Amino acid sequence: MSEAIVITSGKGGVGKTTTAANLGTGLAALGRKTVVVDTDIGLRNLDVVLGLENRIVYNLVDVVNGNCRLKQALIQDRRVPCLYLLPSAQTKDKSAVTPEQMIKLCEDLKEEFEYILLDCPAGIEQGFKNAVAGADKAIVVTTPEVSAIRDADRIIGLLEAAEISDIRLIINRLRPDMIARGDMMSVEDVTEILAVELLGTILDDEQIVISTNQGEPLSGKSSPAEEEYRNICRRLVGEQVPFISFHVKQGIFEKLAAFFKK
Amino acid sequence: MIGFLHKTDHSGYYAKDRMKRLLSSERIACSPQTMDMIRNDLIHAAGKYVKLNERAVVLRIEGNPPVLYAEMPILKKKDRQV
Repeated sequence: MSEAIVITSGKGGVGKTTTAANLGTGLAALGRKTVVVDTDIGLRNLDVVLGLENRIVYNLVDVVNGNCRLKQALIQDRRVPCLYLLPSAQTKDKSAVTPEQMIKLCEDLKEEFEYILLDCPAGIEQGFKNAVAGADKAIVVTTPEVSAIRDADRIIGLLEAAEISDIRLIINRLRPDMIARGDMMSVEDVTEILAVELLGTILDDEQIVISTNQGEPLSGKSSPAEEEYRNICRRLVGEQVPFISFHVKQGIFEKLAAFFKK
Repeated sequence: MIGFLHKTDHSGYYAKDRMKRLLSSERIACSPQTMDMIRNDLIHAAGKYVKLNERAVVLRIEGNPPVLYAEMPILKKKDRQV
């Protein structure tokens, strides 16, 4: 049974593309044939994060316009052979593709791939509508900050209106030291506010920048963020993987303050 | 609220409160335009029985689950039509 999952957030810069690249790599590493689709027409990035920017010949717009066959546009990652990229077009804009074309594209992709990850652009306009059109499920990415959470809430509402009911949350760029001090909303706070099922909790981790620089997701040696991306992949294929519990030691004053604040 | 826990000391708790209040009103999709329409309808309805200070009528939505509050200052009771 193939699954088309849209990775969205509303807010820009919270980690959608990074998440799409890492989850795509992780699923492929588990032996599942996976395609990551960059639906951000005009501002493509998934290719660069995956280190495949020099191998693009055709793109998503070429495919939906019939300029090439789907197979010609798909780029297979030589490092991770089960992983394929369908890149976006850099020189067009969001009006170059319609939701109907995306539905057809996802149907075609489901014949070849077990997992289709749709990297959605920021915003709620045409790009978002295109990305969700062919999706069965959604992953909402947020960070524990007010603007990201507000946009995530709006996106969740729009996903429900688009009749996508399987919506799960990834909270990105968590800083346990700030959470312990009360200067950042916790995982519990964010899941309480947004009220959707938690899929993963990613710590703020330098290795993500390094892996992206190198164009090699999940290549770090001992990276908590990459470890969690791997765990998320295992949850996606149906394994029960416990969430990391990270607690920075609280002093007695912080413990009392937290007690009274509740 | 304990005095020494000022909001800037534990901004995370303050942010959570802000988010819950903000999102509960945004979720029921009460745009400013809709709020204006509700306000006008309420003024019209109450205005059949009492004279209102219409400019001072204020609506807000608070809480989880959301509750609509209307503050409608009354100038005087209207004379009953016989």
